[in-house]
Amino acid sequence: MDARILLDQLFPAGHKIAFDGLYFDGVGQTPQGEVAVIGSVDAAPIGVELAFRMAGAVLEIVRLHPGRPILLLVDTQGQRLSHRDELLGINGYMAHLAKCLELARTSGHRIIGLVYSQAVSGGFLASSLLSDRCYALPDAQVQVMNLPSMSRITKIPLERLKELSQTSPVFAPGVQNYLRMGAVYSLWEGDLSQRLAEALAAPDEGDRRRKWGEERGGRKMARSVADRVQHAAG
Amino acid sequence: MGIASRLCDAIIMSEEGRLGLSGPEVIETTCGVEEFDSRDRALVWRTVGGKHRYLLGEADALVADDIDAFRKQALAFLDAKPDLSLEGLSKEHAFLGDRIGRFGDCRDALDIWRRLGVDKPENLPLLEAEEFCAAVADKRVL
Repeated sequence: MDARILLDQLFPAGHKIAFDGLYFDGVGQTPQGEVAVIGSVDAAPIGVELAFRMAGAVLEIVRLHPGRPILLLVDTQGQRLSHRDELLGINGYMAHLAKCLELARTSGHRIIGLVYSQAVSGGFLASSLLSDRCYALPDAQVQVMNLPSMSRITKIPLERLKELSQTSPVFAPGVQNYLRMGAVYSLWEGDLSQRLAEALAAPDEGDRRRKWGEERGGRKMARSVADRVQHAAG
Repeated sequence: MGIASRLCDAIIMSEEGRLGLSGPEVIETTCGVEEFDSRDRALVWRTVGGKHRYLLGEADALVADDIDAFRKQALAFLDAKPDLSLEGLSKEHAFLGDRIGRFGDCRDALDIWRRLGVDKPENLPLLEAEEFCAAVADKRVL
């Protein structure tokens, strides 16, 4: 879905969002108050500049608007794949964004992620996947890594990976798999402003993704293994 | 894992260690060999290897490729406590913004090293860890 149409549907009472290239941010009005919005368009490759800018926006919200909920609308094909971004330490910029989001969370900001188009790899890891709850539109695409690259790294033939991706939720593209794994909490259908209101009103239960993944049958071992590790450590 | 590593309290690397986000092989597969030649070992090491990471301030220590050296350095970092407050992360933000401003137009690690004031940047890969640390003590970004 086009980001501008999406914003109109999410905030029928109005919004002030500034677009600049692949990036946008601003504020939307809801019956529950103002919501800060940070996002990207056109399946943006997230390079050092974009990660840096998003992190700066998060810090500014924490500094100037204590407690204001943050809605992440990140459309990304993943981290920018380039020699230059690696040279500058793109992983450090992504980690910085992750730290800023965690600071916002621990400072009392609700963080809601909505995958409205595409979410892939590092661009997803360091943004929407770090929200309290990540939601998606039904036709969104979520992917851990593109299959040709995965084939090169794992040395498993591409044909075999394509075959496996039909049955394994762990690396099959599409949003249903992420729903089954618990990484996406639910799909937003119908009145999107209503879905947003519900998400804002949802209790903060901490990170329950392992539990959801187990209940939905897409991530069967993570919860029990994590519990055993925790028990052993305790 | 490059993101997870940078969420740690401290990072120790050897020159041969590689720290980044997308591996050179992935970039080459997706964007072509002109973008990143994964078989050019010298290029790979000076882009994502320990010496460059240490110079940029992405790694906190550079040690020889030796388990005792890693162990000694790890013990020294046991009490490292990063500042994750608003103030601390604002500082980190300024630090990372400064890097884009200073080196954003560099095409190669050698350009960055030269800009840091390193005399003969092409010699850095030849130095042993200790010599290297002494040579760049007043050059690395902090």
